[in-house]
Amino acid sequence: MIDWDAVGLSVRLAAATAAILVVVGLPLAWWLARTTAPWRPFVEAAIALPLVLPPTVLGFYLLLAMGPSGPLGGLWRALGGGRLAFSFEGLLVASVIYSLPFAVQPFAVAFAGLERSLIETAWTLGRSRLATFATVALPLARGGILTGIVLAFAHTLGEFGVVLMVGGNLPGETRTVSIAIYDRVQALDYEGAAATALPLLVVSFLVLALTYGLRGGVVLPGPIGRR
Amino acid sequence: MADARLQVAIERRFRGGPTIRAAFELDTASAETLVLFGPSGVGKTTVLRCLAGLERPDAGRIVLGDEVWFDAAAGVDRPPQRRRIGYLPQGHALFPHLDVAANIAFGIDDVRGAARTARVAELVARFGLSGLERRKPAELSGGQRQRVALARALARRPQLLLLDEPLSALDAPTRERLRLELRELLAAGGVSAIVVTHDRTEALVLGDRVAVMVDGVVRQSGRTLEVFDRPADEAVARVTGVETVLAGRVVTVEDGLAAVAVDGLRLTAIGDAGPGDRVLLFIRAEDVLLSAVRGAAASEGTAGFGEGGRGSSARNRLVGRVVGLEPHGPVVRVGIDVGGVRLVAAVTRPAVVELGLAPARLVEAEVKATAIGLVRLAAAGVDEGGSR
Repeated sequence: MIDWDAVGLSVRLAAATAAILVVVGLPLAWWLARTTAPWRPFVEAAIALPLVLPPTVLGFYLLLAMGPSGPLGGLWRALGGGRLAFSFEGLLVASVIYSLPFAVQPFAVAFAGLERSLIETAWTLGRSRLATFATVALPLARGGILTGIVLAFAHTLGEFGVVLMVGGNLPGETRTVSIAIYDRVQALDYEGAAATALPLLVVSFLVLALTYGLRGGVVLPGPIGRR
Repeated sequence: MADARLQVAIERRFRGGPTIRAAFELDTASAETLVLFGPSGVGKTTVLRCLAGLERPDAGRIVLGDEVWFDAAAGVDRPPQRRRIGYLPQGHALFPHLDVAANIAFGIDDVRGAARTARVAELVARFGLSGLERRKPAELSGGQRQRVALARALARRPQLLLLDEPLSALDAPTRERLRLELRELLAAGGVSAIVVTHDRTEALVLGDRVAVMVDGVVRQSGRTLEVFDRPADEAVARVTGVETVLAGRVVTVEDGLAAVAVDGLRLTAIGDAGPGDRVLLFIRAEDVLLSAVRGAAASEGTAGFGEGGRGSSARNRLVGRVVGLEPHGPVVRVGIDVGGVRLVAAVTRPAVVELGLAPARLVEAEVKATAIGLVRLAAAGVDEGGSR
């Protein structure tokens, strides 16, 4: 039987993570794609860390940070929140950080591929920097942006190590699909594990196939303004 | 606008690279086109980008009328949004995700709604784009794209157009056609333009005025024909590459040979033009052959058409008076006045001695029709009342 609670939680978590990454990731990627600041490599490295760090290591540090005396936990409490570790909110914060490169890198690649002259011409035509971003950069980079959103969503759906470290296994609060499956396997309930795992596999595959299909027909990140 | 003078005096330094210096003026009330001319990589684009506000000079001032666009000393740097310019970068940068109408409407910010739609429609009609409003830039020809880019720039009612190598992305036959079209569009636009190019023909065809850049510095600026005809120094002459530029009108065309009237003279050249067309002829000094005048048959200012006399394949034989001798190493540039038209020939020192060339001396100049470059300025019947 499918653990609908876990599926629902995972989808909510993935959707919220992807949404936050759009808000945080787009400006960050725009800056990365255009800056010549000397500290840029350090920012890039920090964003890419989750790609190479074992999830348990990342999870461990996040757990420390989210503890009552940790900086994130302290801040959350000061803002009127309750306990951050082992809560949905804590899981969300961890997911955003964990999936950051999966969103920011495709965004940045798409922005970097924009012809600079398109942006500059929009400025000379009177559009502010923000309006130019919204009316020229975003529509032209939509392929890469879509890719980033889907990757962030899918990656969050499948995360395990970080969830295990900072979320634990609270049904309806932090018990995601991957935790639920792991749970079943531990209990030697292979049938139950399969019932939850198979839809995850199928949905993930379909979402990716759909994205790549759409992207093929839309605009690829890369030399976008090519005529 | 009482004073609409664009005054540019800027300096842009590159670490480990050249320093670019540009100083010139343009009266934008005249709606004239100034060509910024020079070899590739000389810094023309940098100057244009500084004018557009996309790059910041290290020193100097840019002033248009009473608007200070840039002043290094006063810390003024007006952003591109507030310079009211029409900027066409190389390749035109049409927005690929917007159709023709949306591209043209993009910069209109002084009117909205119906007035905005009306202005777009007016430009679409004026630039011959009717029926293409819903097309994306990728579905347009090179010429159509050029017209959309110009329409988009003019839709904003700019004070000044800035064009960076507008024809460079095109293949040669298209370029030739669009060069003329661009000239006509610029004349019809009623707005002053600064056009960057490294192409001599483009400079001659498009520019009422020209500023010649050599090694990062504007060395000479003035009316195009004057600059090309009388380069201020050796460096400018090397860049312009032609010593004689003549404006004329095609009289007849026979077997592909065009007879062109230049003041009182008639010259034969090869080129694609029809009777009545206004054309420019250019002649390199190396291609002008000098010989002693034979007998009294030839008088000053006559132009022979290869008729009779001593056999020669040259179609153009002109008798003129030497007006100047300028030695450059082993070569001497000889200025010749042929019935009011000035021609320059490059000959060797021994030849000068042999022919006894000296000021006021009569001499016969020969130029093969094949050595005369011919560029069409305007088709027959089109008179722009320009300053040429």
